[in-house]
Amino acid sequence: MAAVVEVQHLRKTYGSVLAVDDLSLEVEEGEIFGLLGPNGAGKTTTVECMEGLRHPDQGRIRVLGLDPSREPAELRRRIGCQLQEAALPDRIRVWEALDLFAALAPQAEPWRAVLERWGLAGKGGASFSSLSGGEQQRLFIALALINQPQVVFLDELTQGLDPAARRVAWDLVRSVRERGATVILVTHFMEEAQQLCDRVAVVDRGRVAAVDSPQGLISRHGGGLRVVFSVPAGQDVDWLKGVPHVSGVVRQGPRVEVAGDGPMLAHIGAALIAHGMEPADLRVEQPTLEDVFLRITRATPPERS
Amino acid sequence: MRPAVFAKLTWLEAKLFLREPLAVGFTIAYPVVVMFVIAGVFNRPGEEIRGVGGAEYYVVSNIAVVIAAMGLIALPPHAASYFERGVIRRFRASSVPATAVILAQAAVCFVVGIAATVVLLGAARPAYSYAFPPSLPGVVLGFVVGLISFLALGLLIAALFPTTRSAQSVGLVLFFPLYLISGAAPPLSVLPSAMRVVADFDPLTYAVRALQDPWFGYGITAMNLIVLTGLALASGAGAALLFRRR
Repeated sequence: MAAVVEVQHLRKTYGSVLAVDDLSLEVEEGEIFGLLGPNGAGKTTTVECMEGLRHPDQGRIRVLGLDPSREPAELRRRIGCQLQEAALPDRIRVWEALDLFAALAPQAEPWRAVLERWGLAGKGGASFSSLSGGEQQRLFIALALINQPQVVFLDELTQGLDPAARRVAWDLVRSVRERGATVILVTHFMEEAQQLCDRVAVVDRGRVAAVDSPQGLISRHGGGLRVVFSVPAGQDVDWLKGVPHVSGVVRQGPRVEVAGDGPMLAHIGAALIAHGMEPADLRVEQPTLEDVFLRITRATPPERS
Repeated sequence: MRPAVFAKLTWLEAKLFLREPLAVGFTIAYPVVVMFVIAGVFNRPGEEIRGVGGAEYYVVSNIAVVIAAMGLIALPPHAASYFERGVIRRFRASSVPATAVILAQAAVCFVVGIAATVVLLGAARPAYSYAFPPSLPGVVLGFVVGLISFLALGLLIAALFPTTRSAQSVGLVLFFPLYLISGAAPPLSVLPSAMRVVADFDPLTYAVRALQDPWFGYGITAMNLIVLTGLALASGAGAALLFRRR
């Protein structure tokens, strides 16, 4: 697959603050690519450089083969941006905003259809400042997509949305991808990255600490599987250490936690039956992306103090 | 950006301006109120200022109040708020350059300035008699150059003071002293000599004179237009430079 976005050795400082430090990544056509990291990790600076809103100090960026710093006009015809910390004039009406942004792109959809799609049908005449947080966010997403972009940047898409609205937004992102666009999603929500992203770059202190699918990150950096069950007091379970694929056993009162990898669960199940034990609560605890994230960012030592 | 898009943006800005009661009130109603009060006070038979009656003097001079209100009160907080709140970022990300948005705002202020002047002269007509200017092109020239130079100054204020509050405060703080010594409030002839020296450094003095000279029959004075053009160029260049750096 062709790379739609290429970033090589990006570096950006604000005064003495280093925001992005030698960051490189590639986004392939048609994927939903996540930039995941804590506040201040450099995610927003990175996408703003991709959007041509900021100019890198060093490094090379190509989006759809274009240099965002040199060809911003051509680039912006083909990308859509939903920005963190953006606003519209307080008294602008929803339809006026859609109408203006549609006029910028010859291929734009008519704004009435857009209103329907984004659940703003009754809000066409409402002023921007009278919209709820969720409605404003939906309007911004609609504006980002009105020119039928090939690449869409969504920066903290679900910030300020309640859980139900968040799920609606996720469905909308999936539908954007189904229309063939590539999506770059900035988030610090682990669940959001896990739900939506084909691949995730973990960004920490201005660098990419790891890139993989959410599942790949979990299996590579999640510290393996854990199988958990309960046993009656006094029951000996030391023999579990001899079961294939088991790397460790921890016993805390009735709770037994077995660490290992691969097809460990099947082997443990068989061994338990063979020992005449049938624990009702036998289960696998998967590490979450959050566990992975903490492990990766803790493992990378800070470069500077 | 295509001209049709700029026209749409400007039309939108015009609608937004008219939805701001404070801006509309200050730029359209305030000069009329000031004109009625001062022209009423000085409308005494036999007394002349710069060779015309007091009422005529103040009707004409209050056009400069419109100019100052547009440039110092209406435009700076409006333009600054767009930068402060992220409206400019939102527009830029969709390939509407900051300069286009700012120029659309200035264009709206220019048209509202013309409308406010028409309202001012129309409101004065039934109450006070004033002569039709002997040099209408001279008056129009002075008005256009004066309004453009104060709008440029307003953009410089917005560029220098990036928050709405600071741009608004600076505009107000400049507006009143510049107005009081410009000749649009007390005539320059009654100012103490020290204050008259300060008035020479007040750009509004030149805007007032650029309106008065051709209206009162003194013709077009090059000095007024040169100072105002210089202000327009310097402020415009400074604002463009500062806005580009944001």
